[in-house]
Amino acid sequence: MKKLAKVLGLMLTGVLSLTCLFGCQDGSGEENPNGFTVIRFWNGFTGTDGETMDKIVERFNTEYAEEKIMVVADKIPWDTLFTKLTTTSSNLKSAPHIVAMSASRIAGMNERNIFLPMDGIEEFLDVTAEEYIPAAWNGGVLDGVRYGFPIDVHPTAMYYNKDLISEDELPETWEEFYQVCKDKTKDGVYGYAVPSMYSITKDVFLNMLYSAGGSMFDENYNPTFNSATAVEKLQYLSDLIYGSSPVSPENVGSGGDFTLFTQGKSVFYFDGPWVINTFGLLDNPDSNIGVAPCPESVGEGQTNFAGSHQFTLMKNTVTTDTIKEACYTFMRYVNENSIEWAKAGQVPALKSIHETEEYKALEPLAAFTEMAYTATLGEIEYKYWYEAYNGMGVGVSNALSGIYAPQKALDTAAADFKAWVTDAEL
Amino acid sequence: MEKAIKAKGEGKRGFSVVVPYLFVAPFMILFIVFGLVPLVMSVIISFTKWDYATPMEWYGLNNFKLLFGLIGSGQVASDFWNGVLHTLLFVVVETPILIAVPMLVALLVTRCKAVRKFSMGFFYFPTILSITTVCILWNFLLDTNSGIINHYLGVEIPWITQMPYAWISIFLLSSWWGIGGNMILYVAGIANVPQEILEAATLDGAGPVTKFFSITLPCIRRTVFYTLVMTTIGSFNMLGQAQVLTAGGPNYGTTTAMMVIYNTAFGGVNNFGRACAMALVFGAIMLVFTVLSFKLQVADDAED
Amino acid sequence: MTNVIEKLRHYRKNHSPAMIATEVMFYVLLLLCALTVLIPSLWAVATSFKFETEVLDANVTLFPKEVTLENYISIMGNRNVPILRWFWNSFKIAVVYVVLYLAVSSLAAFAFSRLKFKGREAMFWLGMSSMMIPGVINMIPNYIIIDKLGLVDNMFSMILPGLGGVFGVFMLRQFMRGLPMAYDEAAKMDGANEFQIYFHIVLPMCAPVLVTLAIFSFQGNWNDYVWPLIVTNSAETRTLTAGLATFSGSYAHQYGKQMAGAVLSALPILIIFLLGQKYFIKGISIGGIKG
Repeated sequence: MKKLAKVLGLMLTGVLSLTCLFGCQDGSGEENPNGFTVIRFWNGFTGTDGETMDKIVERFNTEYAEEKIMVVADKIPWDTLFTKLTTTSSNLKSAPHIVAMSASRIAGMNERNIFLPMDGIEEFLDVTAEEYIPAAWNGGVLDGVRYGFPIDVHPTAMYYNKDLISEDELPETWEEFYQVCKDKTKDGVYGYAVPSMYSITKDVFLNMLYSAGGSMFDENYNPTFNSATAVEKLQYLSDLIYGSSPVSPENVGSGGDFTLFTQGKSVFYFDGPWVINTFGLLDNPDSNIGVAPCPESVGEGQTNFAGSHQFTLMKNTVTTDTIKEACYTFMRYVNENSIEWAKAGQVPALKSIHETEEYKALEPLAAFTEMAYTATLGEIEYKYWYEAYNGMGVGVSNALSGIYAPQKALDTAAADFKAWVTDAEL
Repeated sequence: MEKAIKAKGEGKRGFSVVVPYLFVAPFMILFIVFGLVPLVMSVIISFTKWDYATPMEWYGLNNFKLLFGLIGSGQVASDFWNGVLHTLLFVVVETPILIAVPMLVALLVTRCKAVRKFSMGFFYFPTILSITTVCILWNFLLDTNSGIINHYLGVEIPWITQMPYAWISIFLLSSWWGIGGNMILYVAGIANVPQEILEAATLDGAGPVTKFFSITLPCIRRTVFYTLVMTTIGSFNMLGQAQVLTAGGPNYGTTTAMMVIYNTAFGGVNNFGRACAMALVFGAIMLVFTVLSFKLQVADDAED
Repeated sequence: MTNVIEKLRHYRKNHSPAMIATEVMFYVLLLLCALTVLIPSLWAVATSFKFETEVLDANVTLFPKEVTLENYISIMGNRNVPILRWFWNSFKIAVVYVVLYLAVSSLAAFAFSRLKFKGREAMFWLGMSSMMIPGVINMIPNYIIIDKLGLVDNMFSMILPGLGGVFGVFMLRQFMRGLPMAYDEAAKMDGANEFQIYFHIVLPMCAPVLVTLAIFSFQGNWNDYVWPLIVTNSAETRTLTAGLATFSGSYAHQYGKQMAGAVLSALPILIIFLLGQKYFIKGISIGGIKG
């Protein structure tokens, strides 16, 4: 025991002195190279998209070394990123200058007064609305003031198993979709495994809702996601599971839809564009997985629900014109080089990218691109949109889990949300 | 520390009075800075409306009134108490499981001397995984349509998407995750029970059950108290399972108090004032439970 | 071999068939329990060695049909996952934390259990009562404090707050109270001061508890991920668990890679546990929470 004590004592002193060493090593803080404008760029792209963004940043740094602009990108998972944003905004040493985020979070975050309005960005970068996908371009504007500059649009499209369905059998309407599913549901194969837990289903539901002319809110931001149209659409989804001839198993959990689809046990799967990399579609043109636009979502007079990533500027750190212009320059650079971004499974917001041969070669993205042009982001200028979206998700989930009938599920979600707003406004 | 050494031989009465304080100083300073000051800050914040970024607004008792449904729509109150109720359910069910099951396993492990060390490693493995990992793993195992548990059982139980299975899954996962830690404490405790007494009891014709309750259990009572306190505190703080495995669902059915607090503070709207008020009320509830179990131990110590 | 047979023969001679049957029954029971616990863990490890296509195969098997290191290689090769850097960060942070934690806790526990001073009980119980405060309350204020101290993105932000934890003091005090005061008095007679008594007499006797505490605190520090995520901004300063959390999103639906990450992060603690098991058990059995 004495020996052990000695060893422990030795360890204690040893590591204590090491601590000092580490401390000195780590305490040096951020280096600021001579005369460089250092831009800290936070994003939550932790997947393939993150690797791609790093490459773009790296190239930017090489190309703009003469202009003495340097971008340092830090990846933080989205949840943590928003937590940190509110708590770091006052700390100049580590706070970011540019933050990428979903357009749907801008209005909520703007309540905290942390964003810098992007005055004069259009003139400075010499860009116009026509050059960008409308949904993305407008997604960053609140009350006529631009807080977000578009990166991409990400609609939800329909993946299908080519072994189970041929291209010309693909449904154009949701009515057809159900018919096709019904025909294909046999021998342990389902048409579409509808996930019932907080998942992509709420985006599919919103897709249908906006396609049918519905919305989440009216002009006074009263929830309308329990309107007659909405209930009808949710009833449709619920019938896929619980109807007289179901085309989906019950109680598909999060990830269950993906597994069944991969196993060839369901014909359709709905998800965002990044999944093309999970399926390896860009590397493997002979894959048995295809992508098509959602029914009733593209073409004249149609619309669909999508998300969009945007750049935002932080008020506390972007304090001089030099910094601001450096940020603008970087944002424009990312836009112009977003062919790489496309390969990571995103639809760039800049239209001219879509015209390049290189982009056209990315076949699996075509469906998403088509959808992006008719997409709407919803009433995201409402500061509580994100909360409503989540609350609505629980409603959708409750209906698809058979807990409540669609009408009651959505009514409850809408009532809960209204009550929540009452309390939040107190 | 160094001063304490220098003091050797000086024998000054005045200095030796200071010595104990030097011993506790490092701890007390750290405790005050990172334990007490934050607590006081929390109390202050709980009387405000604050999201960190915009200036703090004095809010009086409103956060607390909201929690008790005295103002507002009652939604905050119902969410919070719903969470508290679920946490209490978790504590009431999971704590006994994590006391009793590891005890049985520990007895078994002790009994099977030949493989004692070996098997302890197995039981301990889950404990060292982080809760996120555990949830990802179990989400995969418990999947209704393609999970191996349903596959091998030949059933289609909706483990995560329906009640009461969602809770059963959480209990299952938490037990799997937590058995190892307590088991090791018990094994160590049982190893310390004087063999002579056990042998004497055997000679007197006592059966294994009698021996356990009249000899082993009293001998390891401090270990049991200890695990009781720590497991209770741990269960009250349950967050990961509900957040990652079930996302609080179905229909908010597994949303725990910690989750409500966390989401209030770090969700879309950062309402730190309200979150701090919730944490304080919840802390008070926890305090009752923990003080009770500490009291038990203090009373027990007094008997010695 | 003959030795084993000899032993078995000896064993059979000394035990009745009924006794052997009970014994076997216990082993079978243990095996069943172990399997229940083991299978999910084994599943995690096995999955990490499978190709992603096999992981999702409808034809479920526990062991990989084809063993691959692809998942590990893919994680190691990901530019976003400087895993060795994270490993080193986690390791140094955990080691520094554990050593400081043991030092700070044992010093305080020594005073709380063996020295008499004004306010002793008040201070101790003040500390203990903080154990019951949900950690989330302190998270925001702690962040503010770390921020004000200028420690964001610094390794000490992941070390200092934990040092104020009272668990170690509680555990060590419990144990130290059980040690006879006669040692201290004898040492005092020989002219030893309090620190010498602490360092040369009480601390060595606490060695097993210290080892136990070291394992507990190492594990706690190693597995913590919410806090490191909050106080670090850059990938370079992140710890392994927090770092892996940042990439788990990128491997959605890719269970093989997620499990490979899990196995990698669990491995160091498992090794430490296996190496320290002897002291660990001893530490607990004669430790502060003994019967």
